[in-house]
Amino acid sequence: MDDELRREFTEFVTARTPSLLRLAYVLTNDQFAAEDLLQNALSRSAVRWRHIRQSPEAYVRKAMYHEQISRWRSPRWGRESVQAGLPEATGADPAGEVDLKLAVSHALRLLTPHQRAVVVLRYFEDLPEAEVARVLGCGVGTVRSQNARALARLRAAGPTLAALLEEQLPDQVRGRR
Amino acid sequence: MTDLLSRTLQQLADEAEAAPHLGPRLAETALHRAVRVRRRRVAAGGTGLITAGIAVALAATWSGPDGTTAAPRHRTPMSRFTSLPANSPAQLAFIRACLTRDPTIMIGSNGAFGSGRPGTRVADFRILATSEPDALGRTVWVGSTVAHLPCYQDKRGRPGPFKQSLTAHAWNVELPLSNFPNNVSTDNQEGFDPGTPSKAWEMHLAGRTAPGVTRITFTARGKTLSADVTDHFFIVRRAGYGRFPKPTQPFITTTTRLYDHGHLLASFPFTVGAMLFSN
Repeated sequence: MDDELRREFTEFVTARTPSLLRLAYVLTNDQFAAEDLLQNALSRSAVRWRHIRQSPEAYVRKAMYHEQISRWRSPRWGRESVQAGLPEATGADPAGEVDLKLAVSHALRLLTPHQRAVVVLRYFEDLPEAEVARVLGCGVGTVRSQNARALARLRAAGPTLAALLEEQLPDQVRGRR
Repeated sequence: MTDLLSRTLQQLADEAEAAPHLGPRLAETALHRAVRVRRRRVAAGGTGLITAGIAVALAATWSGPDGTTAAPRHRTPMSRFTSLPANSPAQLAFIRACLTRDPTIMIGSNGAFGSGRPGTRVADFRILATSEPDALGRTVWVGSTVAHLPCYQDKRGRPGPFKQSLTAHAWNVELPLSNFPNNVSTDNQEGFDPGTPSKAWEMHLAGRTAPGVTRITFTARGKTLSADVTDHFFIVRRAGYGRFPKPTQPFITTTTRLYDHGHLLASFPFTVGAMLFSN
């Protein structure tokens, strides 16, 4: 890679790291794992920079999704164990926001990486199902089923979350059950 | 619920901390890795030839007339190396969590090596090999160009559950070649005996192989221990609760096998500390 391309790549990474790291963090729930995930995606991107430099961000984001899913497939990846209940009960706070965030955050850990990727693409990146399917390289039907399973798993995550959901958005939650 | 999810995911993303220097550091590492990938791709142009060459060389080196063992004709400089694998940000964070200060470097039993020199500081240490995870976590072998030591990681990925030593052993470059039969060296073999059956114990064997080996197995007393080999380095471990399995003899001869992606390269008798195979 010549100096011009190197400078271009470094400028892109420097400018977009905060945004890309947010996505990596939502996918991994861990600062170090997020940096690792982003680093690997950027390393792939650097190899193909000449070809992707017109629209690099989409490539990096897609690489992160795929890396996260395939990392989970690897037998060496320390998988989190799925538990029936939340790890610990959250204390009450006046607005319920902190409780809610913690409860949803814990519940998200119960999802498989594929389900989590679908949830992040749908509700964090706000992409339509067809676009989610394109990014993940699967069918729209798969996206729908993974999304439905993910939401069901979140709802069933535990009494704390269920109660908080009822408390926060009773109409939406009840209307979808 | 979907609005709730969107809002919560945004809040979760806000927890990500992008330090000011992170972007340039990520870019630099990515560019460095890209250069290595390109070099590998260029080298892969003659993959068949290289593979065949390695196979012939290994056969010449490791296989004797009986197909089990022979003195190697050509030895690689096992006890020294010019570079170590690079740490990812997460690996560097792990090393910093494990080594809370610069370790004391021991040369054999002759005392400490001067501190502050290159290769003695925390930032100089790299992750060399990681054992297969078990119920108690895993042992991570870390090292610099000067010394090495084991770090412990519990099943949640945090330092522990064993007490971490901050004494590293200098690479023993003065060992006689007879201690490196078949281009396999055992550099670190020790155990952690808590002294009480109610606490966890650990034992491991860490070492190096010649290039071209991706897996190594040790078999003795009907038990096989195996490890992936990454950049020459490997580590196998046993850990558990209860009585520390002390061996009745100090050493045991194992059947050691070297593989390259499932292809057996060599099989030979190899003597290691017996505790890994004791009951």
